[in-house]
Amino acid sequence: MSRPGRDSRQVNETVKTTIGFDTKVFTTETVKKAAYRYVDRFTVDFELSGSRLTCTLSFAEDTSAEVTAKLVEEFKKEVLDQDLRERIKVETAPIRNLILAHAFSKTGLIADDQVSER
Amino acid sequence: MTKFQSVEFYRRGPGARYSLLPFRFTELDNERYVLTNLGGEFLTVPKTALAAIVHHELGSSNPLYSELLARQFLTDRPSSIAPDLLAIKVRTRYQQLAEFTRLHIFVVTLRCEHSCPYCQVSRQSQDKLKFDMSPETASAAIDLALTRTRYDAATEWSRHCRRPCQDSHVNRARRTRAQEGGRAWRR
Repeated sequence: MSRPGRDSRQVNETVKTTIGFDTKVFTTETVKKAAYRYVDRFTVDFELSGSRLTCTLSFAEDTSAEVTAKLVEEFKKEVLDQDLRERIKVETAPIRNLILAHAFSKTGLIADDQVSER
Repeated sequence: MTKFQSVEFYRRGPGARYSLLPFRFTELDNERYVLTNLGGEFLTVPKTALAAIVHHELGSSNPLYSELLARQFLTDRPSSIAPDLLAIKVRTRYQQLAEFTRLHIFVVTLRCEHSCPYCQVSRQSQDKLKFDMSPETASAAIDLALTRTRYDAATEWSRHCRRPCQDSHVNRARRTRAQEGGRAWRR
């Protein structure tokens, strides 16, 4: 996530690392969700070229190389986790809607036509 | 002759078909994830097992399989008993939403000359009329409260500034609408 309006001097002071993802393997949405988890530790600039998603991670100036490497590793693992979450979400979406509709079917919280549509 | 089939008969192989039920997971420590679902069930699983679960590669002979099945993280039955059970748990858990709320609090004004220690409202001076509830808001709030009146519902009215507000439009609306609501409820 870029920070519009930051001056160039401040950007130059940051430590940067670039990671690439193939969007045929991981969707852009999945990588963005992983980036949100680390928004307090680094910022991410995204660049999409064909099916290649390039993420430029910007760390604070005082971040050591060791910490940077560890965070990059964690970020990659988080992308994998987010990919699993996406799979679960897609596979269980119909049953989740059915369960919620069933659970609240007699409560009046959802309209009858919404229930019958499921 | 035994009446029942052996345990092996009911076990399915590594390629057994099962369906995932909705759940979330988050990292518990370096070794484990914690899985949670809509019904409030939870289970800790080794990190290495999660991908196998999601990719339908978990064998039914794995002890984890039974745990996941028992807590409605997955289902492999042709019947809909697992989703039904989960739906019942969800309904029980969110019952208070279905029956709306048990307590309505109407803060009609912030003007008050008292400093009651139990009060949840920031006291304002007498000239802060702008914080008074408008007739439109009061009417809409009462409508909302009477829409889903639980038999055990309680309504609390802010007791601030009782004298200035005693005959205010809010209190008049309150009395009128409560009477109407009471009549409607009795019908």
